[in-house]
Amino acid sequence: MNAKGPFDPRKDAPLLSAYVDGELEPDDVARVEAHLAQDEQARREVEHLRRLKAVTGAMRLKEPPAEEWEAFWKSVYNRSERSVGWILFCLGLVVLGAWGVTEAVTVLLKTDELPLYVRGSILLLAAGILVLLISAVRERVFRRSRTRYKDIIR
Amino acid sequence: MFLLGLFSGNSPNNQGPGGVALPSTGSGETSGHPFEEQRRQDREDIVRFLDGDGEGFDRLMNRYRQRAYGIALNLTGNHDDAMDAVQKAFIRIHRSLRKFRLDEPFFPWLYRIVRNTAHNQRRDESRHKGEVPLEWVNQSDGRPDPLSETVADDLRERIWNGLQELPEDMREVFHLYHFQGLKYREIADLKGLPLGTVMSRLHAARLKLRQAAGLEEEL
Repeated sequence: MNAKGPFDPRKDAPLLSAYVDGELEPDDVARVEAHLAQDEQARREVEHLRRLKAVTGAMRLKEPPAEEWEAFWKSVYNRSERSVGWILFCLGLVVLGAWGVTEAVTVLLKTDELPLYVRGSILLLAAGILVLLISAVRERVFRRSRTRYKDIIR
Repeated sequence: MFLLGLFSGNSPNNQGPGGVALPSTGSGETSGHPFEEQRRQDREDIVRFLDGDGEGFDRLMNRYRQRAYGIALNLTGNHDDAMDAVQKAFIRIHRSLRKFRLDEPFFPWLYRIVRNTAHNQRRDESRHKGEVPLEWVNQSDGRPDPLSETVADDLRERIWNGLQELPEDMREVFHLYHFQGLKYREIADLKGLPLGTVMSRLHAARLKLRQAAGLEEEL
């Protein structure tokens, strides 16, 4: 008697597919074959699975033509270059922006043309805009990273 | 009943699309295993790339492009989105190949990147767009001998559309087994699933496919 017990048609049905695929361990093969010897419906099921496998096994995914792969590679490099360009552009923008802000704050602090409370208000306004901007960007990035792969089963 | 006995034997699931031998993804490889050569080539090309030789990357990607395309096609359901996803995936791979651990097999790593990229690319409304990207194997005129062209085309289309109707977890296992040529154990390792789950999903996929493709009478 097999240690796993007799074939249970409800619980063990997936074994029929694995049997057709030759993916079962010898003890499971014995269980399936013992069941098949007794159950005509199971034999029919195995036959259906064999035919389906033969049909799907006779198909494959089409390969894109060679000229399409050539165009593909050019496009990969173009895209890659563009993304490098964007990264450099953004880096430059950040550095220039930081310099501009520093300069503006320095000038504002040194100037005597405006009363102190006006200069303070301008600084608060600028700081507020900066915080709002960072918050909006962060939210957008955070939401994107949370929802991007939501359908993926890990 | 015209399909009975027309197809010989088993799925070519020790081969990839185009009959290309596939690298193993499992962890139990031994020296001298046919896939060991593939892994050696992968490592060699990655090291070349890391040493500044761009040709290493080209060789690596050319070796895996069709498999990557198959993975993306399975998720996006149409050629254009699949090609777009593969492009983006290759750019990501190019950027992050330095982080790849050379003692690991390359395919599972590539698989995850292509899969995630294709997920982002996927637009459900375009799943059925374009021609059916399935073809018959080993028949010079693209169909199994005894079938008329019309019947063969109809069957091909029904199977492809039936596959698109499957839940993603089933379709993915079906794809990995039939079109990527992986064994149950390799799929389990790749997906981090118990072997029994792979078995159940593949079996359920076949039952549903038979129903979705309207093959119950014929097969």
